[in-house]
Amino acid sequence: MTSQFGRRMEIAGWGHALRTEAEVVRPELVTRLRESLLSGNGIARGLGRAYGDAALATDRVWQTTRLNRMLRLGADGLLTAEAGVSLGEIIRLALPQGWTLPVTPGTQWVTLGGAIAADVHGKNHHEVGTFGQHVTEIILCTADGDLHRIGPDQEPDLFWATVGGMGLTGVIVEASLRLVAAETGYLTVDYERTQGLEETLEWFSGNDAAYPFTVAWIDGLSTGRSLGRAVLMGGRITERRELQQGTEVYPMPRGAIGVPFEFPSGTLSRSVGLAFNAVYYGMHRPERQKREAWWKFFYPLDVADDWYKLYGRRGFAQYQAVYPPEVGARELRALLERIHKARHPNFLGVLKRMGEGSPGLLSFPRAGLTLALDLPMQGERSVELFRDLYAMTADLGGRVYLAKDAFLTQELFRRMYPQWQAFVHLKTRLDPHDRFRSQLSERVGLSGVR
Amino acid sequence: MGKGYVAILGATSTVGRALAAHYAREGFDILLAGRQEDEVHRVGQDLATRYRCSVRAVHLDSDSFDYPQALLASASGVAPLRGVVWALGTMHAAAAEADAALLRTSTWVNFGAAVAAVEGLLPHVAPSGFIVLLSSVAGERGRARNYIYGASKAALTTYGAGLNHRFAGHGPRVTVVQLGVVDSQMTWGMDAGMPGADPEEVAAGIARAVAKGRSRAHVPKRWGLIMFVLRLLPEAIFNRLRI
Repeated sequence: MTSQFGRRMEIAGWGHALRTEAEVVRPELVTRLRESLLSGNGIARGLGRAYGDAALATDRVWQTTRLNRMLRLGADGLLTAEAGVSLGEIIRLALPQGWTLPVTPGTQWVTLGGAIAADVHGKNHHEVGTFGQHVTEIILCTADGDLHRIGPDQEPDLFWATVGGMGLTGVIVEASLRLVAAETGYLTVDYERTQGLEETLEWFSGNDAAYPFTVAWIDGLSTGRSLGRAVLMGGRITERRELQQGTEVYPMPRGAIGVPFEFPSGTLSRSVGLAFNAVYYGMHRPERQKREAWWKFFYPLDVADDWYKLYGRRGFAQYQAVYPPEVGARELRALLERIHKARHPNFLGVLKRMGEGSPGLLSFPRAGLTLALDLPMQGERSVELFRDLYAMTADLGGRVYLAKDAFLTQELFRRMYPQWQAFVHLKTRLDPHDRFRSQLSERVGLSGVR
Repeated sequence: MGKGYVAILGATSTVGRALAAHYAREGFDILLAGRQEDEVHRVGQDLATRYRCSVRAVHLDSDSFDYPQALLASASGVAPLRGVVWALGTMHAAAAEADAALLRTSTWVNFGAAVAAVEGLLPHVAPSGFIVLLSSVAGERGRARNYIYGASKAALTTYGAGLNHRFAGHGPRVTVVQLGVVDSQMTWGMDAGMPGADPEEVAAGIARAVAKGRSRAHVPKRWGLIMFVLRLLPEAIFNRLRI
C-alpha cells in the first residue's frame, strides 16, 4: 500500500513526562509534505528534543527528519538546507571546510527547523544573540499549502513570527543560515569554581566580556552559604597557531553510547543528585587554557543519545526561565530555596547571563540571567512546585522557555510574553482555522482560543 | 578525474537516495533520474553539497513508454557508466491492484520500464561496471497481501538472473537484490509486522553484495533465512498464515 499519510503511534516530549498518540507523517519529499498539510491539523516535529508538548499534537505531526537535504554551502559560509537536517550534520559537513554554527544549544541533535522555531540560544548568547538572528531566509509552507520565502528583509513580520514561533505559522521547509569561520574544532577553556551564588554572579559580570562562550553549571541542591556554588566555564575557539603540528585541526567524535533501558522512576533521587553534584563540583578544579574538542565543550550530554531514560517512566521536566536584569542573587536564592523546601530532587542546573533579546515575537531570550534545572517528575508535588516557580517567575517579570515548558497556563503565558497579541493577530490572518496547533499552543491559548 | 558515473534510476525513492549517497561518498559521480523535477534537483544538490561529486539530475516520467528513450538520451553524455541502479517500484493497496489501468502502469514501472531502461543503457555500461536491480521478497512466494506487486517483482528477478547468465564472465556484473522490509516512504504507515531496516544500512548492504559480485542477495541478510523457511512451508501451513 502506498502510504499517503501517516502512522498512528505514541510520541513524547524529550522529558517523557508528556506523551500522546498522534498520526505521524514523515514525508521525504516536499510535495508529499504539502499534500498532507492540506488534509489535517497538527504541528511540525523534528528530532523531538522539545521537553514538554511543543511538538506534540493530538491529530497529526509532520516529522521532518527525512526532509534533510543539504542544498548549498557557499564559499562565503552561507548554508542552505532542508529543515530536517540536524545541527550535528551541519557541523560535520561545514567544520572540515572551516565553518561552524553561529549559535548552538546544548545538544547537536535538534533540527534546523526546530532550532529556528524555538529560536534557540547558546553559550555565546551575550555576544551574538539567538539562532534566528543568523538566519537569512526561510521557506515556509503555510496553511494554504503555499510556499513563502521570508527573511529579515522579506515579509519581516512573518519572519519574526516564525523565528521563535514554535511551528505555529507553518512548516519550515528550508532555511539559509550564515555560518561563522572556525580556525579549529577545539575550544580553549578556563574553569573556575565558586563557593556561593554571589560569587557566581560576579564571575559573569567580570568575564562575559572576556569570553565568547560562558556558562555556569550550578549545584541546585547545595544550601546555606554554598547555595549557588558553581563550576564556571569561559571558552573561545582555539586558533590554528596554538595547535601542535600534526594535531588534527577538525576532529570528529565517534558514535554515541546508548542508555540500554528505561531506569526505574526514582533512580535519580535527591540523594543521588546530592552525590552527583558533589562529585561534579569536586571534579572540576580551576584550570586554565584547557583544550577541548568541540563536542565535549558544547554537547557533554550527547555522549548518551537517550539519557532521558535515566529518569524512568515518569520522566522529567525542565524549569528554564530568564529574568530581567535587575533580578539578582536574592531572588535566585528564593527560587532555589522553594525547591529545597519541597525537598525535590534536581539535576544539571545551568546558569548564564543573556544579552539583548531577539526580535522574534515569541522568542525566549532577553537581557538578564537565565536558570535551567532538570526535575524528575514525582507526580502532583512536582506539578505544584512548577506552578509555584512559574508564579514567582512571573512576579519577577521573567518568562519561561516554551521549548522546555509543560505547565504554563494561558494567564501566565500572556504575562510573560507581552507580544502574544501581535502573534495571535498574525496567526489569525495566516491560519484562520488553526491548522497549525500543538498541545502547547492549545494550553497557552495560541490556537483554539479566539 | 573521478571514478565515473553511477546512474540511479528512481532517485527520490528512499533506497535510491541512500544508494546515491553511498556511491557519492565512495567517490563516484552520480546521474540521477526521477519523476519530479524539483525533488530530483534537491537530491542532486544534497549529494553535491555533502560529497562534492558531480551530479547530473534529470526528471523523467517513468510511467511513460518514452521513458527508456529519454533516459538513454541523458545517460549517453556521461558514458561509460560505472554502474546502473534500478530503484523504482510502485505498490498499491491490494484492493486496487487488479484495476486494469493501474495494472498497465504498475507492471510497466515494476517490470517493463526496468527491462527497457537497462537494455537500452547496456551499450553505455563499462564492461567492468555493475547493474543492480532492486527486487523484493514479495516476488519469492505469492502472498495475499501483495501478490500482484510480488508477481511483477518475480518477473524482474527472473530478468536479472537471465541478464547475469548472458554476461557471465564477460560484461557488467548483475546483482538482483531481494529487499526485505525497509523503513521507507513505501512502508511508513503500513503495518509490515516488523520494523523496517535503516535505509543507510540497506544501501551499505547492497553495495557489499555488489562488491562481492553476488548475483542475488537478500538485504537485510536475515531475510534470506526468513524467505528460505517461507518458501519451504507446506501449503497447508502457509495458507493458515496471515502474512
